[in-house]
Amino acid sequence: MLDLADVHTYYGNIRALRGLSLSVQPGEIVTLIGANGAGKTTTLRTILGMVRPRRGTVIFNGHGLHTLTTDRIVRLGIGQSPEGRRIFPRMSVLENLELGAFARPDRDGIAGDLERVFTLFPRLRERAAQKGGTLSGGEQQMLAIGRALMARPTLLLLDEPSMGLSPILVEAIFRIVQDINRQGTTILLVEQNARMALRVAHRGYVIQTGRIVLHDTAAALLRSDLVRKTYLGEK
Amino acid sequence: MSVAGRALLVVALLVYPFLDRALGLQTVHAVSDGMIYVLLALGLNIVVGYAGLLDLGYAAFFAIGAYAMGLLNSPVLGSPLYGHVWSFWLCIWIAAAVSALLGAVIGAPTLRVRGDYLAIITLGFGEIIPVAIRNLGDVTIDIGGWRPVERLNLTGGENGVNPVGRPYLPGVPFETDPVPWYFLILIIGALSLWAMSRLHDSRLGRAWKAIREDETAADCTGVNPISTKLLAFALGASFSGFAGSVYAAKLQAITPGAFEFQVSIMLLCMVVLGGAGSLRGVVLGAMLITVFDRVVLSQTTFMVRALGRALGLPALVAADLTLWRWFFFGLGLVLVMLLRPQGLAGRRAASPLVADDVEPVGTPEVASSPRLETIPPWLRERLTTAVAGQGDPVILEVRGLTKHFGGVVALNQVDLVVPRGAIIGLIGPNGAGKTTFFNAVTGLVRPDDGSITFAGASVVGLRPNAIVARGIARTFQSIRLFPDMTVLENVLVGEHCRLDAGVAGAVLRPPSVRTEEARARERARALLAFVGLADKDDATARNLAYGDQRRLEIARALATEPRLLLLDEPTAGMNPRETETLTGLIGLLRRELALSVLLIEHDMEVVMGVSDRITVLDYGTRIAEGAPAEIQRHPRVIEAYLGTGYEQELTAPSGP
Amino acid sequence: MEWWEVLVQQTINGLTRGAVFALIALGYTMVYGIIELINFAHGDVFMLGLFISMAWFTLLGVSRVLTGWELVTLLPLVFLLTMLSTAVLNVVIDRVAYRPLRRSPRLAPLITAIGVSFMLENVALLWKGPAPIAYPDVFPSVEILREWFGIDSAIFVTTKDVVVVAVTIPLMIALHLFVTRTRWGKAMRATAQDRETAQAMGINVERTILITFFVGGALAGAAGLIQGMYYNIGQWWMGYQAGLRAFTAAVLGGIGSMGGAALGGLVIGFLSAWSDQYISARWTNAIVFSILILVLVFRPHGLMGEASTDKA
Repeated sequence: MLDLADVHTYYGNIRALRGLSLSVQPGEIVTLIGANGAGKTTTLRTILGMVRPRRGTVIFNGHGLHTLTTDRIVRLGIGQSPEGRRIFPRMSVLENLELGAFARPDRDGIAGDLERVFTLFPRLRERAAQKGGTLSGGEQQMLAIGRALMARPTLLLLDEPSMGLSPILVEAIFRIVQDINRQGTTILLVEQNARMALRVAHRGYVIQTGRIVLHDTAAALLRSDLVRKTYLGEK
Repeated sequence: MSVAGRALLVVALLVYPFLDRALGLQTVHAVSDGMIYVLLALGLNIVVGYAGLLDLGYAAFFAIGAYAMGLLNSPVLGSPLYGHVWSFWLCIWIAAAVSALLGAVIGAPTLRVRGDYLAIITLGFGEIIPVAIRNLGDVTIDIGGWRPVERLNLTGGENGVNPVGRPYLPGVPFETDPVPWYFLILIIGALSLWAMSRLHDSRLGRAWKAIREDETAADCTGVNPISTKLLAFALGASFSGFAGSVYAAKLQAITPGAFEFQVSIMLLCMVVLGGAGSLRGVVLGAMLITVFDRVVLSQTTFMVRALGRALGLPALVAADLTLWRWFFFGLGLVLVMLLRPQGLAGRRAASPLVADDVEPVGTPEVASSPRLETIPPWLRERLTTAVAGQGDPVILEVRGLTKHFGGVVALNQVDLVVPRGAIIGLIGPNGAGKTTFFNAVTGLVRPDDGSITFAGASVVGLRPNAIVARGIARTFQSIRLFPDMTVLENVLVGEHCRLDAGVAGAVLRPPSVRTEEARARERARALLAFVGLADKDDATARNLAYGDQRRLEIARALATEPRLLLLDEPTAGMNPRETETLTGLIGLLRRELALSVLLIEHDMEVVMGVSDRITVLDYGTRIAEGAPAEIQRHPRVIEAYLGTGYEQELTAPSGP
Repeated sequence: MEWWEVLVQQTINGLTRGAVFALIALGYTMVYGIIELINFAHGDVFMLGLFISMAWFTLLGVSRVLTGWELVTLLPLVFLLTMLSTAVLNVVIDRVAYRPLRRSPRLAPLITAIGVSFMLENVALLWKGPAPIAYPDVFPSVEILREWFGIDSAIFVTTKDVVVVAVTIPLMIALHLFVTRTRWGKAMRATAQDRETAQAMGINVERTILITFFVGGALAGAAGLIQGMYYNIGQWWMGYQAGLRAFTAAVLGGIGSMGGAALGGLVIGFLSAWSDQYISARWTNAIVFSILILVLVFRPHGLMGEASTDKA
């Protein structure tokens, strides 16, 4: 479904991605883990067209993404829950969710999806009229994921959903992530929290200073000591 | 410009008025008036071009200068200074001083405000001052019948001031003959140009450039942005004061109508068209616009009318292109911004992307590693002797540092100690508060609670540039050099807080200042040689390779003669070879220069390899502190980075 | 007149001025909110709106006071035509002068905006000449207190005052509904709050900006028509002064906040009326600009805006 091949992305002079390649098959949960500064968010931003790769290709269902604008990419069926949630603070929960559905061609399905999101996240239904900025961290994360779902994406990009959340909430969010996947959405999960990510994913890529250094099934990565060594700089 | 060209220009300028008289062209008056505007544009150039502050109300200073001269040197308000031989020559300086003072007064509260708001505020002043001038010609205060002030005339009001005293030079008549005025203005102009070019190539000029390119980086390199900007404002205003006084004396009368917003904009056009920051450009721009305004429009009108008569088109015959002047000025502004924002003479900014495709794997290292022998002796001397004087084993002590941003706790009671001569690593997951910590120590952010003690004294509440002067230098994660300044200039800005030359020193260049500058350059070159950038003095910073830019940032930081160096992710984006060189440099700095280093890093190999001790932050709280080997095994650290229960996971039976 | 009659009169004056300022201020605040540009030319769009509405009236053959059927059909028609004209003008200005500079440092488009402002003023100068132009008296002016209620008072309230309020309020309500209920209005708000995330929702940012300029321009046009209709006079440089006063209103209310722009407009309206009356019209500009400076220096986020930590 999604294929990145030899992607080099720069921020000004800094080379953030050095020949990164990964792929996501339909129906999977693939996780991209690594220490911060390694290039995880840059990878997602490259996919979404917020930053253009200088070399390499990004192909999604046959479309080359590296030449399209972000809003066109999103319309192709990619949804995102951004790093730091980035919900619209002065708009209500409901408005945030409706904005998630902004680009959808089928306006009729929106009400149904709204209902589904509220079922998935009952807390959001309670707070539907509240301004996004007043929600707690966990609620904002739920809102960010719900908002991404409103676009009915075929591929959902989750950027560090565990950041700033208590362990219990993290467990809850990741359970929901698995539910969403079971219901048919392919997921690319970027996480710093290796343990949680590897427990829910099918496959994992470990990124370090802009390139993939490990790639295996999630179970295998979870068992090996290599991940920890990569994160904490042991040789 | 070559020597021959310059000589030719001087001759032309000297000969022109006599030539004009001989040919009966009668253009000298207009040209002299135009030259006054050139003078004004040069003054505005200091504010807009050198310091990068968009001033939309510059005509106000012009007005102040003119009115100061007018009021001080006129019988209208009974000034005692009027009527003497030296009246004009004294009043012109007073007028300039008054303008400068006003510039400082207006500047002081407004310079902290950001760029576009600053522009509007200056516009506001530009509007208020003419209003005040108009209305202060007839001041009556009426409080329920009691009139303490009745019909007081402070400014001549709508009618203005008339007559204004003329300059007096024995044998030189300053009357209706335009030639003496021409030379007077020419001399003032030449002196101004000379002073400005001196200012441009001085400690102050570099400070202005630095602020214009990156104010925060300048602040963190030891340049006080507020006092520097204030100086630009005041100096710019003073030139305007000179120009205004001459204008008043020449015209013999001043009215408030000559200082409207359009004048400010016309001056802005001159600076923008010519290329803000370039003296040559501004003069060129000013001349072009004056010529366009006074000659081109009217001449073109004649031609169009003639054409109309020839073709029998009444519409053309009635045309008057001089009515279009503001349209053309506006169009000029738009076109320059869209097509050539650096103006006619400004340097075209090089492409922001370094051609990095030319960096294949395996290229031999371009710059050499810093070696023991190349350590600048002056730096070694400065730092080690200073250090030898103190006995305190700890150079930085932070206790209970706390900072909130709205509801988020960025730092929570963080303690950290940097012993003298140690290398301390600061690590932690995303959002842990590491950069906030740096920002608090360097003064960019004010802590809510806690103490920061450097070399025995508290630095809380000090401005960033003051903290640099105390001895803490920093680099930034996303390199913040002054992109359009040369490599050497970047380092020289680092020396700013260790040099003394002020405005007078910059313009007059007494021997002490010249020695200071020469020594500063020597030291800068030695530093560049040390970090491996020996022959790149004149390269523009933005054109350097990435690794070189990092080194330059470090050289600049070293130029401030720090005792504590804060490095924010110095190896970000580097390849392994560059990383190795950098780690070597850090070690060298500590060993030979007794520098203490506090280092934020994400590259764990680097941090573990180079640090004596490591502090780990997570969600703003310190969760661990110790030697690298301890930290690598520390359960809370592993949890923070990899997730709760990671260690258990490895030993637990595997399953879906 | 009694002192309280003067006060009431000036308050009514303030209200009508404030309505016009509010409409113009909304345009400033919307554009600033979405692309952080002080659209210096906005006041001149207002001024051109006045002259354009005059042109539409002439085109439709209106030269005397409208009554009855004509009043109810022609007046709204001219409103619509004027608003459409100025909306398109505003969009064209953005496309040509501001859009190429989207990624430039903030001062560049400001300078361009000043250039555009001068161009527009000069166009008006050439089109209509330097002298004040009489605006046709199209709206019936009936002194309400005297002729409808038979009250003999020194206070002068006319149907014109009523219609100013009667037009402005629905416009503002319509704007509010647009911004809170419609898809594009929400896109505007989202883009102003977080441009990148808005893009990630599939919102086409450039189109959103276009709509913002369109709506802002339309409001300025409406303001121009109201101004002409009420004061029966127009002049080529009026956009500069009105623009700065309206910008002060937007800043006072809190730049980026639409409620703030409306509030600020009213406050500046009252202030300028009272200043004209109690101090002197000669000083009013100085007073308004002093407020502008004080707000920008001491409370840049205004009355209803949010304090930001933006340093640059």
